Amino acid sequence: MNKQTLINKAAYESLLKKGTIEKLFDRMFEIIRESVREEGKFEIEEFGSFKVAHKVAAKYFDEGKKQFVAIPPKDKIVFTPSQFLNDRINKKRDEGG
Amino acid sequence: MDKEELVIKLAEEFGISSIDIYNFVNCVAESMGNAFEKGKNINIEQFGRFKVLTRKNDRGEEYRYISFSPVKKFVKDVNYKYNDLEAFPIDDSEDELYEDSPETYKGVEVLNPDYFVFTEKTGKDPMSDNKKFDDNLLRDNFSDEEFSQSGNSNQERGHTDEKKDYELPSSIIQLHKDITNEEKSNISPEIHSKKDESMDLSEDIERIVEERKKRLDDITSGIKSLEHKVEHHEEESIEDMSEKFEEVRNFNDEKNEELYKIISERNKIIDDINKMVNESEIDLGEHKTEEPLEEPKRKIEKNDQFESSGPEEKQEITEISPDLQTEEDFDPIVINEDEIKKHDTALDNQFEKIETPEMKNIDYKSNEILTPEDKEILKTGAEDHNKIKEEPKSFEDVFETSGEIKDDAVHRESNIPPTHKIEDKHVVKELQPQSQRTLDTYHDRMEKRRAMYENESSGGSWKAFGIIGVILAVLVLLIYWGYNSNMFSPAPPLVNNEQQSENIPPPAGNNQQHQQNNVQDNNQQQKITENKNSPPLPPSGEEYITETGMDVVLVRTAQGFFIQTASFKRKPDADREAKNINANGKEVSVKEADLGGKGIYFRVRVGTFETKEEAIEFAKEMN
Repeated sequence: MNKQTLINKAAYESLLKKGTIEKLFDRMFEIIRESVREEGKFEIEEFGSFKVAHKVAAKYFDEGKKQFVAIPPKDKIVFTPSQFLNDRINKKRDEGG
Repeated sequence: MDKEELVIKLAEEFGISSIDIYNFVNCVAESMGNAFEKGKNINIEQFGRFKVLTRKNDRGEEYRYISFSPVKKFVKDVNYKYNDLEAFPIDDSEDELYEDSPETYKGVEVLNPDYFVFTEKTGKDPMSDNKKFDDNLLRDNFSDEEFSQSGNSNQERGHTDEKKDYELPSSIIQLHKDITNEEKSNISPEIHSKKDESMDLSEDIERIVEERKKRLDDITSGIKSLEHKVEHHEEESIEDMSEKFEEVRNFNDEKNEELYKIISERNKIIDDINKMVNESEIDLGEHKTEEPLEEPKRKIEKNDQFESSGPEEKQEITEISPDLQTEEDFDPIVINEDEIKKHDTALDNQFEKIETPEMKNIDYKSNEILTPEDKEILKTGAEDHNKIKEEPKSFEDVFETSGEIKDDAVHRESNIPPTHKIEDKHVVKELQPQSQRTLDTYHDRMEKRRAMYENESSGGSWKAFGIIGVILAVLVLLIYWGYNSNMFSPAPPLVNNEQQSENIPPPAGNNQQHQQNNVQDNNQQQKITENKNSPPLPPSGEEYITETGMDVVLVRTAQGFFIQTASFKRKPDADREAKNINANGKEVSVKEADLGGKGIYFRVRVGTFETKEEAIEFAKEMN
């Protein structure tokens, strides 16, 4: 699936023009990125949440080089789907309903 | 951020109703969910990629999940703190990997992964849990009864709750009390009595101190009340001041009385002290009174001398200046204007009468007022005046009477002998030889030193001149010697004798006959007059004489005359002939001579002769 297909579907269902929808689509993901960078969190109840997980600097043994390596810390972006979506993927909803 | 905030922000920016945007966001989310439900992946530009993957559960059941891999730009924006950091190797052993001590990665903590697994699960540090656990262990060891007993015992004694744990049990305290009572009973009664006396003394001291404190308080209170009165009066009106000035005056009088009392007491004490001091001085005065009495005596003597010198000066001044007269002797000056006018007119008439053509040529404006006679007088006066000034101050004049310098100004103006120092001469005469000796020695030393300095300076200069002169003389002699010698000029041409000897070196025995023949031929050709007066030698230093009438050549040098018998090109030939010559006591020498291109010749010569005739006679004898 592509960005363009999503825009076409949204334009088909909504009353807005296609050009404005493209601009809205780009701007929406920009805002998500900014919020994740600044606040470390973005959440949509039905869809899921984007979070930042801090990975502390650590010391590992590299077996290829047979040497200890110190890895710097890192902020990892994690997407956790909501329960609704997770059930929908695994078709639990159909079983229950 | 929530969905509502996102909708509001987009609505504000684009100017579109929030309902449309709300529907738009829901549409996007539903469409994405539908895609995930079908197992499709979604790729969004400048955001990331969503993938639907399968994984097995602990029970072995498969389930699907969504993995999100963001774009690099998105990751860099989030990791703006750590983008510059890179992994680097560490030289550590495996044992240190499992230590709890953290290490640093360029200022950031580097920790074991196992440690953080533990912390992430609990959300707390493991060491903090251990502390709580230790506290519980300590409390569990104590029973509830002990806490209750200790609490009751402390409440009765009134101790604070902080010292509960450190309080001794009651049994130990009772034992301590018993021991102290036994010690007190064992102490002797004398010590108790001494202690009581000391306590009595301390009580007395305390009483005294309290009384003094009360006095001080009374005094301070009284002073403060009085000061308060004074300050209070000043603030009130002037009408009531007349009554209150009296109070102030009385207050001041009281203070003054106290001051007078104190001063009188102090004066009494000072008088007593002075009396005591005077008595002590009088007791010891017989030895000490002489010294202070000497000083005024000396002063008096000096004053007497000055007084005696005073009138003498006046008398001498009268003698020196007899021409002076008193005011009565002078005639008073009386000026009349008429006489002045007459005098002026008479002068004018004189100038009119005396006017001549010669006088007209005189420049009255010139400043030549003085006549030549006046100039002569002034010159003589100036000379006399300079003579007076140029009188030198010799040391003898200065050290005439004493070692100290006189007051020359006084004596020259007054021309008075130093009468007041005549008595001092008796003392000073004893010092004269020493002073004169020092002066004589000083003058002698100075003269000697000057003479030495002059000799040294002159000697040094003459030495330099002498050295230079010697060097110049040596140079001149060397040049003269070198001019006369062969140094600067080539050797003179050889005699024919040598030219023949080159070609035909004759044997030793026939040499003389061969030379004789040659010389006879030469004598016939060369007939030169002989100068008895020895002429100057040529620059080579040698002069050959061939007109001897013999078969021998004479050589004249600065040393004298030589007889040259032969000359050879080889030295052994010359030596051989030198042995065979009958010299009759004269020296036989062999001399080298460089002749340039012709080569080296060895000349055989016989001794030195003072004159030419001796050499000729000796040559005849030889033959």
